Amino acid sequence: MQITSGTCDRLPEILFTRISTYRHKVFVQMLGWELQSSNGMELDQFDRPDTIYVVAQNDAGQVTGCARLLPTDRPYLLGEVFPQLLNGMKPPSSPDIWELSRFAAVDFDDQAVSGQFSSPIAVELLRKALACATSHGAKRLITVSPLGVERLLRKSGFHAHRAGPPMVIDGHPVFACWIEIDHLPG
Amino acid sequence: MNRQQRVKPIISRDGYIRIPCFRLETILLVHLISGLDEAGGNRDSTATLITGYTEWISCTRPFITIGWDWQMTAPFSLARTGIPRSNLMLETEKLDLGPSGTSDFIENFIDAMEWKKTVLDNISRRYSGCHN
Repeated sequence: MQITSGTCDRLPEILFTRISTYRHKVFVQMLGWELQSSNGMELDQFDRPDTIYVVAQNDAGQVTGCARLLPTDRPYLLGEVFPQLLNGMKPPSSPDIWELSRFAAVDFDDQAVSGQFSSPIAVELLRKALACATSHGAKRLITVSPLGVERLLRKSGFHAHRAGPPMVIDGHPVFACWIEIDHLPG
Repeated sequence: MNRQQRVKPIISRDGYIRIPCFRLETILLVHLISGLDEAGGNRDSTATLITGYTEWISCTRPFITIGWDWQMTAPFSLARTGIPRSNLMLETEKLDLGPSGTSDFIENFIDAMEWKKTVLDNISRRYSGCHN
């Protein structure tokens, strides 16, 4: 298993294509999210030149997990699309608060695949994503995610707490969650 | 300040809603949503373990949100499992109890609540007709 990170112009073009295809497979086909996609690739307005991707690949080079990182002092998913998840709080805007989105860890080569965070590499990918954000100046992360990510965070020892109550959006319960970088599990 | 006085909670800069421990028992929660686990749980006809989640919120803004997992221990009987999840940070003498200390209080609070019938009814309605 290999975990790579970088902006789209730093990642090999084939890998960026595989990330977009993987996201389509996970979020559109498997989870049924209503996201814009074309040619079997899922990309949105937050996939910009400054967006940082963290991607896990197996030994065959197949993508087995991904995450997207955006600083909150530039447009980001929670602030632009889901501010209602913040319980009345103004969306954060700071270079030291980053957003984690499109997080998934599904190994489609594993016959037992059963959920968005089903792969054993989920925790390692999350740890790498947080380390990557830290290296770019993040002191805290905020994420808009399905409820399942909260379980993953808590069971894995991350200091995470919700920013507001979950809401059912397009039939899926999602919520906003803070992840504190000052306390990362070893 | 005595226990009867109420101060509207506010969201702290770190996203937590901070309240003194003793105020937890005065919070009225209403059911928001419950569901069966889609991953890891098993709800087919041979199920030996049925698990799910439930979400509750306060009636006033900013919303206090508490969610926890449950497991069906017998037909029509649920038990809370795991650590509850919330946006609360409980305080004593203006000092944070921390995530672990806060969870301990919330667990006791949940266990004193009448939540199981509400969740069972909700689950029954939500998933009725799912099985042949």
